[in-house]
Amino acid sequence: MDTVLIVDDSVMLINYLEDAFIKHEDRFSFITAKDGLDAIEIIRNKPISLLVTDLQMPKIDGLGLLAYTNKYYPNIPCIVMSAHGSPKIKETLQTDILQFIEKPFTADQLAEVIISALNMDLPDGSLTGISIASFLQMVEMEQKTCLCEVESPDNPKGFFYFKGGELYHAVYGSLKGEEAAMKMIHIDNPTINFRKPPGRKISRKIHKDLTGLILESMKRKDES
Amino acid sequence: MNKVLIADDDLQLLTILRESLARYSNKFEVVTVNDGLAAIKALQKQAFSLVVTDIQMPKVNGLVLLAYLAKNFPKIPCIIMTGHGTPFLEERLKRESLHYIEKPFKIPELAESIMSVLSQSEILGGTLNGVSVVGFLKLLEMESITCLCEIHSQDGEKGYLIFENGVLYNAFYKNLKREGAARKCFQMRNVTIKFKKTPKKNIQRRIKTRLSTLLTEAMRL
Repeated sequence: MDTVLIVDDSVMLINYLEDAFIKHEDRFSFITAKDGLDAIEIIRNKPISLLVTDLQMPKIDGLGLLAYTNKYYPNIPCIVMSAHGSPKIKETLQTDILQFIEKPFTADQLAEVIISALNMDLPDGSLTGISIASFLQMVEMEQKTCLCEVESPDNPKGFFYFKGGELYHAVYGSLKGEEAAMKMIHIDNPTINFRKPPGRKISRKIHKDLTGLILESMKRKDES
Repeated sequence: MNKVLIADDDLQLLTILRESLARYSNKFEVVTVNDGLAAIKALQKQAFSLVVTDIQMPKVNGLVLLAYLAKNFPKIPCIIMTGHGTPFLEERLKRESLHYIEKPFKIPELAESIMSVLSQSEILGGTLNGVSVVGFLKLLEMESITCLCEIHSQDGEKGYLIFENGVLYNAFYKNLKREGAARKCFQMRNVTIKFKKTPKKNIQRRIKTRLSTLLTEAMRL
């Protein structure tokens, strides 16, 4: 039996899903958590087949939770319940592991997405985790101000700085600004950490919008 | 068939309510809107037996909607959904014939409340005239609203209350100011309430007495 972890701070949504999912109890069982911290506690102690999470939550939010699962449990597929749309650029490779359902949805609509994700037969080792482009687009969607730290083997540490969901600056080794951002977008199997933004003012070095930047970096990769 | 209008800016909650209340469709029908302006438009087009509303909403908030209802549809009862209840408030609102449900609630609780209000208003022949000044003021406080509240009575009296984040800062009534004016405002009966934006300039807090104390005093007089 598959176990699905559903994370949302809305008690009313959780109650509604609990009632409505009784009819699917022969297909999956589910556990609920009210914030990212709660969810991490559960993931560490129980095998989970699928993570369904909201993005805006107290304590550890959805982005923090996704960054954590991506780092320690990269094989758990994720469905993001989002009130602010979904990323404009979907990469074919990543669609398997990260999907979006836009709020408002009905319980039946969510059940359909859950069941189809559970039925997806993914060959071992085919998963590449959640890409940097997906994370960046979620930061933009949620209009967050944050420092996003990117680590990967054999590469220098990199940073993206967002203010109110707009990409202001990026640093990667000796590269800065747009060049740094475009290089980092391609890093495979990255580990992402969300850090509190620095207290000092960071001036804007990137003026291109995120979608344009991602598209251009993809084009460059194809050409090379 | 009784029609119930539900107003809330949380679209996910509206979806949940529409789906979950469908099982009561033999008792009442549900129409949902996501701000107060849409609610007012719906009220102008169709006949409703009951309004269920959130307080914090964009465009026209729940308080303005309540004021509109009290003025234009005084016989339509109202249930307020809010996230910040206190026992004092609950009791107060009940006495003011304002019904009230605290978020998060269980769907059967809301359904019960809807059915009970609908049956009451049938028995009383729609005499539930919801809203008094006191009911409104407690809501302003609870929802930390900033506004200029203009109160008119039928016999031409006029009073003003200035709220900053739910705290009563000053009041005016004829040539009175501060606490004295506030007490007069609270005693007005058969009133129409209008909400206005507070003037931009920095408003000094002139009333130091707590709202609940002032209200209790005014009730005693």
